[in-house]
Amino acid sequence: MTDTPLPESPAVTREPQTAGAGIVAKPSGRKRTDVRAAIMFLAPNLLGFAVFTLLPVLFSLGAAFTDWDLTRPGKTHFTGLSNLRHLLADGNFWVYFANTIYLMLGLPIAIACSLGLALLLHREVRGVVVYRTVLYLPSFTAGVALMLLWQALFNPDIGPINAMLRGLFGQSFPVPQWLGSMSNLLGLEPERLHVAGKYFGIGAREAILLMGIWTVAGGNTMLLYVAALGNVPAELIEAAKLDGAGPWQRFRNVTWPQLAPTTFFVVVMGVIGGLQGGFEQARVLTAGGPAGTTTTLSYYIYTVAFERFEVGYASAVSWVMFLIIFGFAMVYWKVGNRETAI
Amino acid sequence: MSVFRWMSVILAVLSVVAWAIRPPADDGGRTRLDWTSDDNPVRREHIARFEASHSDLRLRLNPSSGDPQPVIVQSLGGVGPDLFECYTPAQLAGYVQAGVAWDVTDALDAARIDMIRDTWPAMSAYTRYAGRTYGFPANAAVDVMFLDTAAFADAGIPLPSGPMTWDVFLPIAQKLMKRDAAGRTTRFAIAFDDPFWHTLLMQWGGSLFSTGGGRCTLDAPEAITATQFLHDLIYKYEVCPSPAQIDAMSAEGGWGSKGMKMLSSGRAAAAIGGRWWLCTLRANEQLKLSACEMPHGPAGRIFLGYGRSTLINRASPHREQAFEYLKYMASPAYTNLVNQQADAMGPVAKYCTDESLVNPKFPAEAAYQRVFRDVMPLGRAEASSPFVSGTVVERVVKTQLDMVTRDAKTAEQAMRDAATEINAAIAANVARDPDLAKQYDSLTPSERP
Repeated sequence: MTDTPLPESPAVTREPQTAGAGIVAKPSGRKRTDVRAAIMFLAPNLLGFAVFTLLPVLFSLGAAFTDWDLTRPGKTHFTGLSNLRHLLADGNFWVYFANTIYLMLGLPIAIACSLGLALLLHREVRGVVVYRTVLYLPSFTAGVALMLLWQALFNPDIGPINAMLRGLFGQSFPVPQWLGSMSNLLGLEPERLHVAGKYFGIGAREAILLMGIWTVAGGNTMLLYVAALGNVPAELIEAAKLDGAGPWQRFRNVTWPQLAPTTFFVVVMGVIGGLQGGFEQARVLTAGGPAGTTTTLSYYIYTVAFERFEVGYASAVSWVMFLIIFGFAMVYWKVGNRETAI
Repeated sequence: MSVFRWMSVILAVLSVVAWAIRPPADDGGRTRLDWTSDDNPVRREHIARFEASHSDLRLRLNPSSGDPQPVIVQSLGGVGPDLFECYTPAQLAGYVQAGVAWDVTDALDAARIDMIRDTWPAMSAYTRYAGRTYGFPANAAVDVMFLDTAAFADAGIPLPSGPMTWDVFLPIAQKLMKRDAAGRTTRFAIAFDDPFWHTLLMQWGGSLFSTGGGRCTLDAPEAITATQFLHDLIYKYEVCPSPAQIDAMSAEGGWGSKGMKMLSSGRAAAAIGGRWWLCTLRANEQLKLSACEMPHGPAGRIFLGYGRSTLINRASPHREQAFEYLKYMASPAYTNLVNQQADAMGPVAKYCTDESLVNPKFPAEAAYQRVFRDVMPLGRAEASSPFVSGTVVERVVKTQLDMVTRDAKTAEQAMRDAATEINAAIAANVARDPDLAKQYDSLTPSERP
């Protein structure tokens, strides 16, 4: 397959930037007015970004090198890398990092479900707009309301999920205890990075994982895939049909490669979101428990800063989390760019 | 006029409009006091009564979840409330250490209010820190055992009364258990909430900390035995639900603790809870309640005392006016109102009379209201340490108790791990704060790890 040059966006114009080698053209009076107008329009946004995002971010970077504690006002000192050393030796940090990664294991399934739904919605069927709206509902429903709904679904005794399991496998079937259980599919111990057979099973982590898959499957990822499917050139599909390709071959060899940029984007965004995630679930459903099994890095940062009031250490954890996310994104960007270019 | 000039004019006009419609600093000449508290409906009546007796003041409720962080952060930023609530001794320490709470010792003396003499003993820990007073108790509670009279009648057991040990109550509890044909439990004997462990710890003679707070003593035999008893109530005697069973049986929604929901829905014959449960349980007309003193352990009739206190923001521009609310809290009218509402027990012991406790709208409660008052002097606040944050301790203990109550760890190992982690936190805090180190060095050797 040969690369097709992308059509140039009409929004991008290529005006000459220089009047000669190394000499920047002096903007005309009209252009100066345009620049001033642009700055005026952008100023509120830029000002808001600077005051509410950039400055706090830089402030937190400074705080990461201090022992700032809200309960000890006036006793903040520069401590260099001691927060980082503390973090490396902090067993909780690594356990909660593992929890965060564990909860991201549902990402491939969620993306696959989104793609599946998008393929279904891409077909010419009556009421497709209604289906799209219904499937997108979780995305514009309040997160807390959804979590309370899932809490009821996960009720081990009277919840519909366990009722269904009992209906399928009999009343004596050992149903999962969901949000109340420390069990997990990898058998991870709650307090340290260690595997033990007695923790093997289905528990709170899987409950949150399931909830996450359900939320993501019908959300923005699905919409992105629907849009991307609409951009797959019909002539390529037609050509494949004429060549005798069946539905699976057409999907595997024509549609899927055309969706590569979208897949790349949703995976990057999913990884970033996953590493930052888990806060709402922990705050609303489990308080990070049982025994810390649903505490993720973002919830840990919250507890350190606003329950223990160790703002300096919480800032350090935040920056380490940022570096981890940045590292993941960069590696994936490099690898992904190379693969999507092939 | 160019576009950006139009933009400037619009922004200027909007700014003027915003300035013109800003909330008034006072209400019709009255000083407004912002009060951060939980949004319990009974607060409205407190506000109405206070404003009726203070025509120059207006009290505005600023609903909060009870977490201290918004109050501390807002107060340090200069926009904190005038009055706010403190729900644990650890929170009080945090507010005082952060410089947010106003020392009202002298103001109380000047108003001739003897807080220590007049209020319930356990509440000192919610108002006093390092020998100074920073607030006034808003209410107080010591848990009792609520009894579902229908469940006792169903089991053919007379209602227990008076002090008894756990050894005496356990055979009764086992008779209260009810199972269906498949062997599944449909009614447990006793339901409880998280603070129950603290009571057991005290009843077995244990404590979170040594005197002076220099050492966590959860690895002591008393603490281990108490925690083992909690485990045994679930897995050996099988009279209390496990956490999973509590989650399963108490998820009807609505306000209230899980133990309360189990009792209210007939899933437990008895439940350990405070008088504040009545605020909710009164609405359940099917439930015929009684109450008795909670059984006690080998160290005697000791129970966890807890409640809520109200503090004044040190940086408030209306500190003196806010103090008027504390004076109102010391009045008989306030204690009487709390008692009638059943929002736990009113703070001033001498005003908690039989007449004050019985609400004429709920005459059936008259039979057991005295139980709540009789246990109040037996309440003790949980121990705290100046060397480690209470929230750190709470989280460590909760993690370990999660493991014990899910039968994933022995009580001995869990308590040893908890003590190790808390003592490590104490050591780290002492190492980084010279003032704390000085205080720590003044402890006797037996008070340190």
